[in-house]
Amino acid sequence: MKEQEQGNYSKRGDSDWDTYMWLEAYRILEPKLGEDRKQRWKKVLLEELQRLEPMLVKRIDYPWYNAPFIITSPNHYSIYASALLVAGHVFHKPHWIDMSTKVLHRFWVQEQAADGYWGEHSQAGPTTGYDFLTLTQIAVYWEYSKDPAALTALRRSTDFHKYFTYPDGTPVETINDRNRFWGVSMWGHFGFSNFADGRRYAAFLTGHFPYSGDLNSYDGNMQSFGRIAQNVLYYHEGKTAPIPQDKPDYMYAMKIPAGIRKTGPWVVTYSGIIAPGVSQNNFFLDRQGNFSVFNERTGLIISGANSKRQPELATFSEITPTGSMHMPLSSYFNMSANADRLALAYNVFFAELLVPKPAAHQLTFAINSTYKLDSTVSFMNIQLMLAAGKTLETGAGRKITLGDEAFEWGDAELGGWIKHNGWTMQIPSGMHLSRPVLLFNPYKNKPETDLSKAVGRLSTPLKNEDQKFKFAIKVD
Amino acid sequence: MKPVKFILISVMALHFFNAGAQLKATENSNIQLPAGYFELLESGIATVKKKWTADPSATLASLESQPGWTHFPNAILIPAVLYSKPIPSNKHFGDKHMLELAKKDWRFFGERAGTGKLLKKR
Repeated sequence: MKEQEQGNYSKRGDSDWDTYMWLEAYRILEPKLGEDRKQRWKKVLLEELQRLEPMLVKRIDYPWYNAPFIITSPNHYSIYASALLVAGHVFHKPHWIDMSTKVLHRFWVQEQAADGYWGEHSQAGPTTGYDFLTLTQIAVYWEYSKDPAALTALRRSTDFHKYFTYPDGTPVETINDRNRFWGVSMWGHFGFSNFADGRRYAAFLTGHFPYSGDLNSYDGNMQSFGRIAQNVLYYHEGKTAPIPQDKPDYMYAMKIPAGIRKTGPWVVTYSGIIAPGVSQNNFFLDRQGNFSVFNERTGLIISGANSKRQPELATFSEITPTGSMHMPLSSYFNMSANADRLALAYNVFFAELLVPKPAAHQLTFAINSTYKLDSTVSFMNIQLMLAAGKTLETGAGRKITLGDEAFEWGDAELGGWIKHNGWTMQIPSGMHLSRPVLLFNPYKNKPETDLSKAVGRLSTPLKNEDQKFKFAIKVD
Repeated sequence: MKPVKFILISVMALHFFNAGAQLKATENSNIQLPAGYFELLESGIATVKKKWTADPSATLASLESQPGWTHFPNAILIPAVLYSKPIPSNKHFGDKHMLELAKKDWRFFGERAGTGKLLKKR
């Protein structure tokens, strides 16, 4: 009992997320609670919600609602605001409505990027998973304010998310600066439901959500059930319209240098986003992953996920006498009818990724590096999704079941191709394959120790000369 | 005021654990909304009830220390919505059992200051 009296509920991190759910339960059950319980709930809710007011007020005129300025992240800040907005209506507190309106309106007029996302670190690029959280708060704002700006923001957000979702319902990792993976999101579907294609997108996501609940990933735990209940409260029924995933082919280039192309079963994503490294805040990854390859039959084959303190997983890295670099200095990105081109410039060289529109069973790509000046120790790295417990075969006759054992193979063991999980990749000579590479865990601020979650690193040192590398991936 | 905690590490770490997950496209393309949401909510409340039954003495801390059960208080909105939403696909509209489940506030809010004992007695 002594522990209970210490206020354990409030001490929990992000307890305001739970308070919002309780507030909604109060709102819809108020006439059924009985006077005694109603007053008790109201008293405790008001105590909890009042904690948010100073946190909202303190930052309300800060230059940007991004982590480098507000210390917390935009998704948290918008949740403070939306909880107080709803509470202001429920408990008739106009000043809560006013201050939350000011914040949430600004999330559209100043904070949302033209591409429809709310970057957690800056507008330079999205934070795809957490973006679902922020859009949910804008959707709440729309429900209570009918501010046309909010609907415009939701339109942009719906476009962003519907394009950057893989055919399995998971958001694209390549453009995400905080997470290597995010599950199928159930947050904020009611925001999408303001539009015909948004309703179809919500159904698409729901169709991929595990029926019995996804208890293995963050986005599928009890929070998802709470957010599904929230979707019911605010969902807008109506006609549906096709989304990109319904079409055999689509391509979409953002205003920033990033894009996605689906061709039949293949999805290729690109990021030439330029952003500085964030050394002190472990929650932000370095934007060092630049492309991914996904196939509907195999899932992700090449990961474009970002990382931190792991230049060995950067698409390109270089060590010069004056320092090291694993994120591009500049980039160029172009999508055309038949091919995509992503170019990334570093100190000593630049590299171009060229991806022709793939055929049904085969995707090819080439990486051409152009030497510029001076000398360096440079690497090209490709992150392969090599699943533990599955076999890996090579052109040189190697065949193993992937487990905990580390290996590093060169031409003699690889023999020009790799076969795994239903795909076969033709690789150029000079490549090295190593596994496992343990991944940086931003929530632990150190590398993960679970080998089953590791990736494979397909790499080669770059010479101080122009080079061409050709790859082909076939799926049976 | 103390600096805002940037994020709840123990909760968010679960994102990372699934980093190697390989999901195939297996969409249930027949999903209709909002009916599909109610099917999921029924599944969710069944899971919660099973948890409650299996461990009647569970505290908020003990529940949330288990994988997948962080932000357990979100559970309150599931029966609240099932009880109160008058939609044809909601089989639990007006179901008093759902109302009683929603009122089980002591289970997860009872641990905040001064309310646990009072609510648990009811």
